[in-house]
Parts: sequence; structure tokens; C-alpha cells
Amino acid sequence: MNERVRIYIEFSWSLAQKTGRKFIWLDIDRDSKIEDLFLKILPSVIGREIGESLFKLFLNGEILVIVNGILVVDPLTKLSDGDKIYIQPMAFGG
Amino acid sequence: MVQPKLYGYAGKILWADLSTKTYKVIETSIELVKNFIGARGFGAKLLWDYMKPGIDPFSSENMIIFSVGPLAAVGAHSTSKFFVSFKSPLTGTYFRSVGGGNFGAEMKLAGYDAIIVVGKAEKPTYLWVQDDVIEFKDASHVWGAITTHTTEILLKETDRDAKLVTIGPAGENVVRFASIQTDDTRSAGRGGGGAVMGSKNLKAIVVKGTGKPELYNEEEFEKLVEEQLDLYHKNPTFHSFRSLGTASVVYLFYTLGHFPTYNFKQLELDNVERFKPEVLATYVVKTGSCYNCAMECWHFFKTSKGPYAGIIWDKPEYETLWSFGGVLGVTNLEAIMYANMLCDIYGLDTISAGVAIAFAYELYEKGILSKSEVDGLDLRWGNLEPAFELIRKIALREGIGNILAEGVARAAEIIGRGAERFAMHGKGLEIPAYDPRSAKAHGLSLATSNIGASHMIGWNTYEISGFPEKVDPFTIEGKGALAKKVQDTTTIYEAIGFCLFPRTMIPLDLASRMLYAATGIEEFKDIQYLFLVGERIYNIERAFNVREGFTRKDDTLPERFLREPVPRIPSKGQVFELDKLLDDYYIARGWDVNTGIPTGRKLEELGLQYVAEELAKLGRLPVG
Repeated sequence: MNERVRIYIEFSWSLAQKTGRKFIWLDIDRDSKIEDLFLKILPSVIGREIGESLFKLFLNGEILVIVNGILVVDPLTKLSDGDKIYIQPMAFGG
Repeated sequence: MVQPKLYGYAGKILWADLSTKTYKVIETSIELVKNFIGARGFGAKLLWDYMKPGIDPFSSENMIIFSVGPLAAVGAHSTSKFFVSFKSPLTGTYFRSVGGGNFGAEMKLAGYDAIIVVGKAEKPTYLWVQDDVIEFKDASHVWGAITTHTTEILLKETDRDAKLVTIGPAGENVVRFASIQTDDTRSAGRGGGGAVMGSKNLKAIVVKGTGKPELYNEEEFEKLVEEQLDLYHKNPTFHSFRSLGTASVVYLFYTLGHFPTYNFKQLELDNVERFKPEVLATYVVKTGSCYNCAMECWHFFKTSKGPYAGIIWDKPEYETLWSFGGVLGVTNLEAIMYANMLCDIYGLDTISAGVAIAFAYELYEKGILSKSEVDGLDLRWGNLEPAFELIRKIALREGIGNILAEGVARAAEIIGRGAERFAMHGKGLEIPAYDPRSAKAHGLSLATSNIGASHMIGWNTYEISGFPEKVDPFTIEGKGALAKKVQDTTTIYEAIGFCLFPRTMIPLDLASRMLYAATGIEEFKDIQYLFLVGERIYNIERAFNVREGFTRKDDTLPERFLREPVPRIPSKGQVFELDKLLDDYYIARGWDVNTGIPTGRKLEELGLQYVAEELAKLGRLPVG
């Protein structure tokens, strides 16, 4: 059996409305990737359709995925124990 | 020679002289249009052509130019911004400040691509523009009034449907970072345009227009506007802006190493969760927009409890949530809303005001300023109460406020005792809510910007938002070229007159097609031509500063960024590698690396031979 690690995911305001969850603690397989997060792990919580939709937005750069304060764009980025993930629509300051 | 008909443009420029109470109306020339497009481009070119070098920004010889682009008031969305260009009393450089609301569109409908004001009125005056009827009217009765009262009175005595720009007491008192206000809550805030108006005894410009610019291909243009709207609606960024505007990114940017805290010391901010969008959203009671903009990014907040209860005012944007929040260690949202409103009604730039106040807080903390020197105020981090009094004192130039009204660079010189180490500015312009150490190309833009440390001259989507592709914000390799690319692209959008908020939703290809459909000018169909114009405008702005004596030594940032590593993640340990980054930037720009001045070859390549010749005559053009 794969070793499990724990991660924290927080959805920003409008995405929290879309997913119905503000934050989630999840136990996942070690070395799971961002791609797995959207397509395999999150669907059990927010549904397959929303997971796939978010993944598409992520690939198009239309939502931002921040892991421990670092912007992540590679879907193959591996997740680690204790990672804090913040997911928010693309936005700009001014 | 008869000029070809201009489509999309109003076709005229109003030139008003306050000293003589006379005006003239000149044609918008096809050369100006083709070479500089409009809006920011017009301002830069007109300042270069007509501003005498070396003048005092508060002298009657300073010019203040309000300009709009060819897509203003013709049915496109987010394209009716007005640009204010002048020599800044804060930086001594060329300056452009940008305002929203309805004034820009009304100017265009009144028949003007630009309004240029020169001279100085004998007594308080406002300009009343009704299409081609121009009046210099007495403003003595509103001199000293806050911006909202001035607006109410001037619209009552002119036309309720007119639009205006006005200054508050801060502008009248020539506070060097006084803003120009419009529609009560919108500001062309940065650089002290309000002080330039005040120095001219110009309280306001009121405009009412009944015209409509003719388009080259109206049917095609309407289709393109539909395409623009379609792109908006499909994009989550649009919905994010529509939901909460720039306030939606405060918490996000804090996590990315921006939203600097405690006068850029960058310590962890307790209760930063107060800035999460879901908290801020609870204050929204109504929305609004600039002229014909589907983004509707205005959100009016209401405070309903505590000492600041009863305020309904347009929300503080990202910058103001910081300039009266993070930079002062404050997380009391209601207090920040109150400070924002005070700045709007006194007519102060919220960024410069907040950073000037943070400067005073740190000097007080370090013991450089005593309690008696700050008029008995207890300037403790996290407490915004004394800041309210400082806002008033700055606007009215009372006590310590009279020193802070000079901006942090001059205030540090006046105070001495090592105060300059805590004066956070670039070329005299107070630094906004980004940390150069957390995004190096963005920081390079703050250091090299022709108007001082403005975040909007080269807002680096690559580093901060990873758009259109992610670039590591901490590396320095290739950052010169990246900063240049973003600065030039931004300049194109601003020459067209676009708001920068939706720029990632409007590909340049679409902007180019809209420009062509509106104007029929063949050159505008070519994106490479637009890039040439963007770079040309950027270089003429630079040349203006070179003519004023600015060089590489002025492209710098405070020592705090160069020497003190950031203490918090994700930028922990980062400093800003100024010299290496500057070398890289000047090479990418084709400028002389030793002086930071455009070479003759670069200027000629951009069609700016006349600029090269003038700089050569002054002995300022690099040899070789």
C-alpha cells in the first residue's frame, strides 16, 4: 500500500462558491501530482465534472494554484506532506 | 495640405491658457495619430514638443494634458480612461496618471482628443467646456472645499449631466502627491497632478459634450465589441473583477510575497486573513462602472458597526487596502475604508499618503522622530487612528503634515538623522504594494520606470500571475528583456486608452482589429507596428527625463531592497540585484549601459531623429 501524506486545500471565494467547499484536508498517496489532485483526488469531494473543469482552467492559466506561496503551472508537480494549496481565479492588482 | 478625415478620433485638441484666459482649438494631426496613437502617447509627445526643459513643476510654464484614445466613447468596453500628463512635482520627471469614471468619454463627446492647460490663473478658476463653448469661470466659492462638495456645487451651476475632474484642499495646498478626482471616488492619483492644478489656481474642469465620433467601419466595430464581450464572459478573471475588483487578490498576493508589511520590513502580518475575499465581500452593497465597461469593478462598501459606521464609499482597491493596511500593520478593514474616503475627499493619492505615513511610523519607532515632532501623536504599528489626523495635516500642510506633504524623499532630506534609509520611493514616487525582491522583472520596472516607482508601468503578469506563461520570479536571467517587453506592451494598451485590468482578456490582435475598424488607419492592422509605437512612446518619455538630467543613477531603489533579505516565505532570503539587472535591461532596450540613455541609433530606429538631435545639442546623447 502506498504511503499516505496530508495536504490542505483552500478555495478562494468565487471558487469556494463553485465547489461548495472553502477548505479541505486530504490524505493522498505520496508523490501524487497536481494533475492527480484535479482528476483523481478532488472529484471524490467536489465531483468529477467540476474537477475536470478546474483542471482545464488551470491548464489555460485561468485559475492560479499556489503551493506554499509558490505559483505552480506544471501539472506534473509532485505534492508533499503538509503542503498548503491555495486555488484562486486569475486576477490582477492595481 | 488638407488632412485626411480622422475616424474614431474627435479630431481636435483644446489648448487653454489660464494666464490670459484665452484658448485655441487645433487639429489632431494625422502624424500625431499615426506615430503615437492617442491617450498616453499624445501626452508624451505633446510634453516633449512643448514643455520647456528645466522648469519648476509649480511654475506657470508646466503643462497639464488630459488625453483619451481613439476607442473612447465609441462603444468599446474598458477604453474610456483619461490620461493626465505633466512634469511631476514629486519626481521631477515626465508623468502620466490615469483616471476612470466618465470624464474621458465626455471629453471625447465634447469634441476633444486632448485638453491642454497652461499658465496660471490670477484667482481660483474652473474651466467650463460645452462642446465648442469654453468659459474660464470663477471658482473662489469652492476654493477650500472638499472634492465631493465641489462636485455638487459645480454640477449644480453648470449642468447636472456634465462630468468633471477636480482637486481638493490637498491640491490647492500643492501637496506634492495631491490627486485629481472624478465621479467622487475615482482618482488620477499618482504623481501630484492635483498639485499642478492647484499651482495653476485651477480647481476643476467641467465638460459636457453632445457629439459622437464617426467610425471607419461601424458594422465591423460592433462585431468586434461583441467578440470582446464574449472573451470577457468566458474568462474567470472577468468574473473575479466583477465580484470584487482588485480587492480579490490581497490575500493571494500576500502569500506570493507581495503586499509588503510594516514599511517593507516584510514581517508576518497577524490577522492577514481579514483580507481574504470572502471577508471583504461581506461589505459590498452596490456596484458600478466606468463609462461603458462590462467589468463593473466598482464595489461600494458599507461600514455598519464601530467608530466608522455609516460610510458607504467605493471600496479601497488592492493598493489602498495595503497603503492603509499592510504597510502600517493594520487589518481593521473599517478603518482602512475611512482612510480611503478621507484621501478621496481631501484629494490625496492613497499610495503616497499611506507610504508617507508608514515612513513617519518607522521614524517614530526608531526614535528618529520624537512624539513632540509628530505633533503628540502616538504612531504605533497596527493603529490607524493617528493616520486619520496625519491625512488631514498633510492635506492642510499643518505641523508634521507639512513635511510629509513633500513626499518621503524630500521629507527625509528635511528631517535628516538617517531618515533616508526608511524613505521608500523610486525617483521620489512612493513605492506601491509590491516587493521588488519577490519578482525581479517587476522590481526592475519599478527601478527604471520613467515616472518613478509605479506598478502600472510594467505590471509583470509573467512573474506574478504566471500569464501568459510562468517565469520564475526570483531569477535574474533574462529579466531585462522581460521588463522591456511588458513595459512596451503596456504602453500600447495605454496609447489606445485601454484600462489595464482586462488587458489579458483582450489579445493585441483584437485590439489591433478594433483600432483599424475604428480609424481605418492601415498601419494599425500590423501588431509589429503597434510594438514599434509602444517602444517609441516609452523612449520619448525616457528622453524627456534625459533632457531633465536623469541618468542611470536615478534608476534605483531603496537600500532596504538591495541589502536586507526578505524574512518571510516564499521570498525568504531574497534581495534585489540592482546593478546586474540594470545592465541586462539597458542592453535589452538598446540604451547606453553606462548612462541608461537611449542611443542615437535606437532613437533613429524608432523614428525619433528629432529627439536624438535635441539630446545631442544638449550634450546628453551617448557617444558611439
